[in-house]
Amino acid sequence: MDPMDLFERYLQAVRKYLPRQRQDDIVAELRANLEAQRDEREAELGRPLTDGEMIDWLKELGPPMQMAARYQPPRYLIGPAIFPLYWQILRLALIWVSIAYAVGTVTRTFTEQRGPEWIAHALFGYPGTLLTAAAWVSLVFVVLEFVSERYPEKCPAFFATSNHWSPTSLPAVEKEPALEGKPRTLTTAAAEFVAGFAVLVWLLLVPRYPFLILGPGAAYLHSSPLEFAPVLAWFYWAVVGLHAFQWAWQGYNLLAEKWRTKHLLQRLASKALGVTPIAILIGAPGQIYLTRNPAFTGALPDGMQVATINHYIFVSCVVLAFIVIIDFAVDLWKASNAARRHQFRTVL
Amino acid sequence: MSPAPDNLFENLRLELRRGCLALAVLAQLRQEHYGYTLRKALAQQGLAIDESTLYPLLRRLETQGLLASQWREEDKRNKRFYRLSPEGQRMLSMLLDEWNAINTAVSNIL
Repeated sequence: MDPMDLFERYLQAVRKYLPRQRQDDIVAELRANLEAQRDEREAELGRPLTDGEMIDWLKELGPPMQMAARYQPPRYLIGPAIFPLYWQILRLALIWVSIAYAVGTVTRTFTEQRGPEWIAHALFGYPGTLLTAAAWVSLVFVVLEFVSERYPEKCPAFFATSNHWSPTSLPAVEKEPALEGKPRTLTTAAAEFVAGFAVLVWLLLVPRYPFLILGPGAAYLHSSPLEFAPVLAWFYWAVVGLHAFQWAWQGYNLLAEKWRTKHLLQRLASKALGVTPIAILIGAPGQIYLTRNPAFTGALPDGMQVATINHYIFVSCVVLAFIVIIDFAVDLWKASNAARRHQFRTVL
Repeated sequence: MSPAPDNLFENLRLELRRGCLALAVLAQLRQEHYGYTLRKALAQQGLAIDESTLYPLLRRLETQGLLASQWREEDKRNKRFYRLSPEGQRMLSMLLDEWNAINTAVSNIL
């Protein structure tokens, strides 16, 4: 193998990675620089480079693509000048797409009476929708970057800081919420405990005295065309259990003199457990919450269909679960931010 | 995730060098050089510059009008020689003043 052939092949490969209009100029300059280096090596050795030495040297120089890149300015799909704006627009776009998707899905679920399979399909389609939105926003910014790089004289300073900006237009300093929430007095904590007990007693009495929740309507419960499905009993006991858990924790806080602040973990745990009763309803066999009352022998009122009512209850539960989970995620995010800031202030 | 200490040092070192390189190249090109001899001259004076840094820098400085280049034959080979343009000389003088001011300030701080 001829070492000079390798050298020419290297230059030819570099040429292919260069912009067409600058290929001759750059390759000529590269050739001059490399030939000078090669001459120096050969002068030191007192002989021409062998095949092996030429291969080693070309390897030292780096792959042709890398060498070509050295002769060109850094290139970006989205450059640092417009990246902050891109990031802001991308985040806004994803938020609005999420809202539109959620509203669209809920509306169609109600108006078109869609079943659980369709809802699951819609949920699985959500990441794809987000990716599509992100791809479009990115594409627009790639085009903007390309145009502003190629034709800077024709582009106004889209992204330059506005001359109209003024420090006085900045929003007021936000009050930093305390990590553990607003401090409470002993009276407030004790009142919450007593009220929690009253609610627990009220909840426990509801099965025996339905009028406590249904009012005068309880008198018509036995003659109603519909009755509760067994899953409602599980739902009821989950609500009772959740409330009892919160009430017990309140009591522990009072005894342990931790009533001044509501512990962050307690707040988050209460919210997380709040999903349980809704999850029980969503997981109901056949999504049946109400059934025909066997004691009711008459015909159902006009327009009343048990399947339709059950469907709406199921959809409501899904929407509710979605809201509760989002609320929990937001609280978790806020708590994590607050904890980080708290840690930062402690360090300072 | 914060960079490892070695990486951090390397990043800070490169950042520190980056601003000095343009000044060094402009100063060295008060005498005419082509790429290879320029790199060699800088290395001999203790400022080794990687090819991947030097060549884009030369082209950027030329685009900015601070360098002028000319293809010429030397030792039976065509080479692109760079030298400081009149605008480059004015810029070099201003940058040297700035360099001296920074150098004095940093020395005082240290």
